[in-house]
Amino acid sequence: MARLEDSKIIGLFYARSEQAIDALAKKYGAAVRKVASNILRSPLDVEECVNDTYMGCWDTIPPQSPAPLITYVCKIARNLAIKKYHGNTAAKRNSSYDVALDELEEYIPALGNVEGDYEAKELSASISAFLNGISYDNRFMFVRRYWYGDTVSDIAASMGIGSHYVSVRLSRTRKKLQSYLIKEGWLI
Amino acid sequence: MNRELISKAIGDIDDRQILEASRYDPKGIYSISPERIAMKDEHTNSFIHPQRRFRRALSIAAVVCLILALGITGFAVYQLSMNRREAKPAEVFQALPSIHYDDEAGAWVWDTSPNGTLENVKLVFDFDEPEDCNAIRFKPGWIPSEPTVVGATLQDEEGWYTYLDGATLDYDQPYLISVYYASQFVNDGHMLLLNYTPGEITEETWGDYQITKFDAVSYTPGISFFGIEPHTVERSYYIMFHQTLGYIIVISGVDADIATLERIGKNLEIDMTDDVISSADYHEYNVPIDGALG
Repeated sequence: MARLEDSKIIGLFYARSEQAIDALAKKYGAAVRKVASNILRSPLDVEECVNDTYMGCWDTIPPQSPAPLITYVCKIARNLAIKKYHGNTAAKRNSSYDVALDELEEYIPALGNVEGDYEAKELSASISAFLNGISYDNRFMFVRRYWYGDTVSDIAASMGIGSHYVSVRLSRTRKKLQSYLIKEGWLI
Repeated sequence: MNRELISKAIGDIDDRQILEASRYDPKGIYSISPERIAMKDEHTNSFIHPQRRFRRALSIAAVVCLILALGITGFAVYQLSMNRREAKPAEVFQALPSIHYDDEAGAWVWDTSPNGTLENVKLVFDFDEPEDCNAIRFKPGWIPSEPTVVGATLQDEEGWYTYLDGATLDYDQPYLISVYYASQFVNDGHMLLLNYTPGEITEETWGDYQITKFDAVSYTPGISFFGIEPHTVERSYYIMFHQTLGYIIVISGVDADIATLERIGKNLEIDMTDDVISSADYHEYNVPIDGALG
């Protein structure tokens, strides 16, 4: 079946048509499921997260008219998955996202000045600024690994390169990020 | 805790970087330009064309001149009005276009009449003026529960809201606060109550606000995708129209009593921005205020 343009999918949401969900699922369902399954281990949790993401879109469009739609949908999915992830017990933790967080935590062991949401957003801005200063490939690997929660082998496959190469590049980027955060006063 | 903060900080990185990484595209075709991001409006979370921003600045200047010309006394006594009426029999309103998949044509087809209209409207709110309204943002001084659906609200970096949805993941919606502007509706547009049948409607004034409040009932055929069965929904409304500034705050909630909604409304902190909502950008803008759920 044909895939609709984003604006037409949003038009369906505005018209309160159930086809909006259908069209959204067809176009971005795989991306949403991928984001959720990278973070959550249980297939049941993943399915719940996917459906809640669609519900979140149904709830917020209108008034929102997000462009680009894929970023919006993936952000809702990630937020919901992260919320569920942190709500789960430690025993359930073993996802690809866990390993990714472990990697980051090794280089960002103690955030000295981060206490509330505002500081977290400021830290995000610093990380974004850091990412803007590195190469496209390094940025792609970093965001896929730590935002989307992809495995190293997934990233390697999507770029057509070897997993070892991705691991090395990610490791160097994490070290550079650590230096950058120290310089910016985030790490003590 | 550190782990959660890292997770949160990574989660809030620039949208451009998230979009850029949605697929591997080293030539950068699948990315949006920095210029487009730079013009993102900080209050409404929408993109504003530079020419439109310039026009808004001109509009603000024009309003200031008008105020000076009218004199402070004359301006202060002038009040805008929100006119409410029942829809006329067979009255239809232009809706945003709907669409369906035509199996024979093998393509999505846009519907015009009659699917491109809103029918069986219950209440119509009309506005004659003004042409421009300054956008507002708000902070709730009191709400019955914290919002739980991530991404359901519009909040800027300073913590001000332009839309606050108290919906829960159980599909409950104890409150929903949305903002509209009279200037959006002056060009043949309307604020509509579409599916909810109102009970007794009460009007009163509270300071500069014209208040309209009522309970309403809707029958919904359900949403099969979510497994929601057909059911009846009771929703209450507390509508605050500012009679000099022209903004409209619609507060509604499922199974919420009006007193609760009134408490939410009367405890809102309002901040007026310098963004102008101009009628020139809206034609036949017909907005149902039913609420997203139900």
